[in-house]
Amino acid sequence: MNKFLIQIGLFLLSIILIFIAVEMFLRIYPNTFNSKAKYFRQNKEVIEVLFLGSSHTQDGINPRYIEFKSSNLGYGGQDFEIDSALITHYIQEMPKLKKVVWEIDFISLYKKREEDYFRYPWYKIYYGIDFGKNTFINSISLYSTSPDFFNQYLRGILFEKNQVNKYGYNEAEDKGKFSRMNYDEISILKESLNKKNKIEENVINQNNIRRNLRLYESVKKLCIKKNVELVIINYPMYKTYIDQIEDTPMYNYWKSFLKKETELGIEIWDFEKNKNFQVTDFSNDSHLNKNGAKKLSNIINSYL
Amino acid sequence: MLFNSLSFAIFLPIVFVLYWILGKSRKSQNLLLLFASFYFYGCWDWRFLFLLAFSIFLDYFTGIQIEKSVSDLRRKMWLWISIGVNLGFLCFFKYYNFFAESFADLLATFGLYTDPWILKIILPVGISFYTFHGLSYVIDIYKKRISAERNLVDYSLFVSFFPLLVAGPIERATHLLPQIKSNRLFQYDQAVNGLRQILWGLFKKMVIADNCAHFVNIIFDGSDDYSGSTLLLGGALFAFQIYGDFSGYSDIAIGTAKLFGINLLKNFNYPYFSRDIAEFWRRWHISLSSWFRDYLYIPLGGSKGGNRMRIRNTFIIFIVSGFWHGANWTFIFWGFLNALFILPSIIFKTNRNNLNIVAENSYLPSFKEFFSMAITFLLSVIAWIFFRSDNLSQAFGIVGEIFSISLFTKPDLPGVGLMPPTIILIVFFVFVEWLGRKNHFAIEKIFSRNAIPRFLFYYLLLVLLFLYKGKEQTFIYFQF
Repeated sequence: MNKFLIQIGLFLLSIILIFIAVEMFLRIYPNTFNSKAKYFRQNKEVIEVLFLGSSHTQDGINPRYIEFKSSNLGYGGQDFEIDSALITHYIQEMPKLKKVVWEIDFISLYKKREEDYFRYPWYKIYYGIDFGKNTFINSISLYSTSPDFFNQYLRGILFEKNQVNKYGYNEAEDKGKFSRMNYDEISILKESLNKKNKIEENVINQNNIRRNLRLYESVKKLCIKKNVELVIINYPMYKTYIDQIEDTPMYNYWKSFLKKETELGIEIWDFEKNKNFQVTDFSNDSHLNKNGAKKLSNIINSYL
Repeated sequence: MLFNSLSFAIFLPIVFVLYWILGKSRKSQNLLLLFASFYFYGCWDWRFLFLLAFSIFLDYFTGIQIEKSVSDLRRKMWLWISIGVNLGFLCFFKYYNFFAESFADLLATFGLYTDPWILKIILPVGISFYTFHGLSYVIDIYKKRISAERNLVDYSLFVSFFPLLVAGPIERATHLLPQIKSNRLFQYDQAVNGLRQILWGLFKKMVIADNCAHFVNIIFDGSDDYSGSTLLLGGALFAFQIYGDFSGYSDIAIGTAKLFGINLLKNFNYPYFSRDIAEFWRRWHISLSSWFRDYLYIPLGGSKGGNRMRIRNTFIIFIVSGFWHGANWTFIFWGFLNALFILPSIIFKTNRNNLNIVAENSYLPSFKEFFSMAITFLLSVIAWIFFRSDNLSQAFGIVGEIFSISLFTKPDLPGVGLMPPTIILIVFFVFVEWLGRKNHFAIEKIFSRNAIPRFLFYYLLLVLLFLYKGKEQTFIYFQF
């Protein structure tokens, strides 16, 4: 029995050591999230333009093509709470900040992450921002925040070369839906027509809107106080996506919000139906690929 | 509490350590295992603990009454009380709605429309398995093969031993009770073997079965839209899914029991290496098929009385076996189909042809053996299509499409990019099973002479478990 217990103990110890090695690898190996955070924290004192938002921002802006010192902190799944926490936490340490470009598209206003959103601990690890929603294990182990996600990520590393640039933008070849369909607009349209209903986000959640408007107003006030210009951006969308969302209650509410903010003097960069973007600039209906990001970043550079 | 869950990973070591601390007292060990088993079952649904307890008390009591009774009539009476009540509960929980709906459908064919009185019945997990445990016990007492167990704790443990409680193997009192009643000494080799078998079972379930399930669900949910080649691929993947799922569960159950010094019956013996359907049924879900052989086939006359009786009894066994699996005509037809497939070997008396291990003295099968295995596998896939389908109409539709010109088209799947790793894993899995086909389980003696490659292989399995575990699916046989 002693021999058995000792051998089991040693075997388990070796597994724990392997796990620790994997944990360290996951924290260090460059990916979009940690590269963004690293570049931002190293350069926050000279950053002039800060981009905030969700996956549309993550995919849509490549700071490589912006002459001004900029940082793109947009990431998939980010909502208003996370965006506002990022700017609120760091604005004191960004003396050169001139513009905050914040993605507010038709989903943003009513989106709210679930309490156990698996990425909350990542913000603690890489940005030092604690949302107070981490379990003990999540706060010490990155892998434990989402084993399924990291298993897929590790499988991807085995077979694909990472092409994240120093700003945290992934410059790998587009493997999105449109690329798999060879950017064939007829097939894309057919596939879109097969979708039975308009996009599900057509119900206005009042609690979420109230919360998000509060967060928006607090960020707006903070920017005014710090003499930073707040710009609202919405990203190019492919026509099939616009067809899905146009004239839904949420879309109309969002348009009225933008109109109101315009009247209050907030600059809006509305690229939603911008004709400069073709099908080959999109990875799917609502996200740009690296070509589209380059195009958009150049346009924004000219605006700046 | 699933075998592949964190809670079980915490539960098992605790029970294991306490069990061997109590090593000097068999009674204390049995009591601990009994409490652990009830806790394990209670985690599923504590309400059905009462049903389990009732089933245990019923068979314990009737077993003693059968033994005490002098006259044959009284013995038979107690036997039929046990059988009637046990099967009564099983039929109610499992088949009430099926019969109600089928009766309503039958009336509808005569133009009589009625609203079937359907009840919202939750199927108690494992009821088919522990019911059969109890039935084999009382029948063996009636047949005077064993004495009635007087110790309630020992008998309760026989029925409710947690590794086999929810999905078998279906144990026999003649095999398990003596182990429960004897002192168990910790044996290093047995315990290590148990851990090895658990690891292999987890790989089969979490990597093979759950990854296959992803594609099987896509194909069967949209079966109207797919070509014959895709549907055949789906059937083959389901064959691996159900094998990985069920034999994986059995491996974990048997391996877990070994940790407590208890040997359970082997339940699978590399069935997809069978050269004919008769051999397949000697290797698939052995505990159930041998149960039906001993308690239904033989009492019906078995192989005595000529071909007609053999054929009749064979069809009865397979149809009842199909019915045991669930309240759906697809399971019944699956059983019927298997009886049909085995019919030629019964008529021509070739059902005992392949008793040895395939390619016993060589590394590779001969062409004839390979061809036989391929045909047997194909027949099992056709039958599995019925097992997996929601209804007979879907099953016939799928089989019809397979046997059409679209069989010769390239398979077409969404998510096909994810397919190559699954195929590679299946090839790896079949390769390891082939290498280990002479052993109780595939990796029992892998690299047995050299510790370094052996441990590297264990690490490889663990890495594959973490990197390639599929999206969690319930064990298929929990629904039975």
